[in-house]
Amino acid sequence: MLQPYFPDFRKRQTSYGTTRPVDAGAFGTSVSAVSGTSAWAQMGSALAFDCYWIDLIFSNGASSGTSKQIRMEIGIDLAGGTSFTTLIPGLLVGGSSPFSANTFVSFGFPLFIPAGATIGMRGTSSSTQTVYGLWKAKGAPAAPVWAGHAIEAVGITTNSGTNVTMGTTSEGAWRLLGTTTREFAFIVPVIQAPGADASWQNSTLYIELGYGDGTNVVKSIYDMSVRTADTETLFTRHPHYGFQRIPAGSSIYGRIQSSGALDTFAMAALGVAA
Amino acid sequence: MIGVRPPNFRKTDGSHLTTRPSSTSFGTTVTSGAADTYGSWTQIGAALAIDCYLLSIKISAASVPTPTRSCAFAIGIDLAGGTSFTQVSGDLLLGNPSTYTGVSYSEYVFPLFIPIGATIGIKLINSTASTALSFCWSALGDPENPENAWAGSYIEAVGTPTNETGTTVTAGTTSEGAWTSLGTTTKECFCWCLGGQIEAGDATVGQRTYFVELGYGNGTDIVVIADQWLRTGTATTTTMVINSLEFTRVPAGSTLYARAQCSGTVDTIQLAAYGVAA
Repeated sequence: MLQPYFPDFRKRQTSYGTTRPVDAGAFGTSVSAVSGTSAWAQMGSALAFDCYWIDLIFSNGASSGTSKQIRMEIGIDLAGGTSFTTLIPGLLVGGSSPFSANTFVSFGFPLFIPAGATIGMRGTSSSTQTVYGLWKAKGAPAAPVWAGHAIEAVGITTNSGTNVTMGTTSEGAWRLLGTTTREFAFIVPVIQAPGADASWQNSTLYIELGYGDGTNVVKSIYDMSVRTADTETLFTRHPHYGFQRIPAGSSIYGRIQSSGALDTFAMAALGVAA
Repeated sequence: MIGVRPPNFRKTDGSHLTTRPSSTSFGTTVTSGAADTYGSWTQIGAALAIDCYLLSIKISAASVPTPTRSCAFAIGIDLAGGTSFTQVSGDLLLGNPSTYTGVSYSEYVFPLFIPIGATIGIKLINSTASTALSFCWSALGDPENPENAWAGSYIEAVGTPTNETGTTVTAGTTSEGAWTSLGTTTKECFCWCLGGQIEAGDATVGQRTYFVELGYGNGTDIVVIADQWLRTGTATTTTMVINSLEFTRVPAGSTLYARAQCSGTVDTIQLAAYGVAA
């Protein structure tokens, strides 16, 4: 469809600025995720413009021989960077690989954050783990563009998600993750291993997300790839454009298909609401 | 922004909908022609069951050759039948894609409108004859609010002097590299990404992270329109990572520039820019 409308983002900012990349390892802002909840860590400088889209990338949430459960939160402080309020809950990053250009766990949201706000992160973990995070923001759209103001998590437990039994030669069964309380305009899945499995497979997982009644499910996310490794690490890339309107009160379902032998993984969903 | 309705894509489609994921190559095999020559068009999957507004193409290899090769592909569509494809993209750089280990594949994502019933085809060119790679695609469509779901009809390539080579950009190390001109756009474009590869013939590629940026301007004043990450390494693979869609309007006749910063000792990289035009 040929139309004149498009976002036309004219400004960009990152939390890491001009920092040189690393071959592999530690990159970004660090926070020590702990049992309980860590303190907030400020990520980069205050936003220089109104943000309408934010990418979030987390790494180093893994420990070989251990299945880590880590739930990160992103918060904002409208002025000062000393008192953060949670804006994005339920970011599961347990098992996230050390950072390189293509190994990490990533998320992207059409989310409005006002200029001048400071972005921070904190984490809850099954055991102490130093996690690295960074953000990339876009703003100054030349045309009006939709961005939400709140994110709701569906299927999150204390520091993990809802266990989903994978399929192998065929798709796994749809698993109910929970019910929305708000209308979503955008939805993404999150995934990590629950605590019991400390011996992961080298596998490719396809995960899907949808809403419906368990029999008739409208797909929101189709075949998002996840790589798991026998070092108890995983990496993902977020789906590029999860814009789908999901009414308040909808039941959200997830399913997984694996290329290899089965592990148990947990899923949840994050929805962007107006 | 209040009062703007989100696109609300209500349908998905894909070339390999129920195929079990793999840890090696995944998708339909496409083979290049003689060295430095495009092979013939290969149909990928069935005809589209929806009007496509966002197309993702993933590319993987059964194995990765040494030394590095130059490689590119083009996208074609046939509105009915899958026998006669019309090219809708320039040369999309690939280098040496990885095997399909989860997310290690190469990927391009474009807001590209392709009508329902059309068939997607791929043709491949490589510096080595008869190179085979695997392709699959997925699509989003049926937007409830199409006025807020911009999609173009052609992908313009800038910086590909021959089909499967890009423009050499010398990466910086402790600081950003210099902006290097990729060339000039012929169409007004609205969404951008970069493609990259290691120059052909390199048998000792380092495992490196490159931060690469694309901009337009006059060489001194540059407006950044996309930033991506390029991973090079194990077994000479190159993987360009697109973190998110980069919507920025750039007028026809603009000069595009790219620069890179590397995590360690640099290899010779080539970059090209891709803009989606109406």
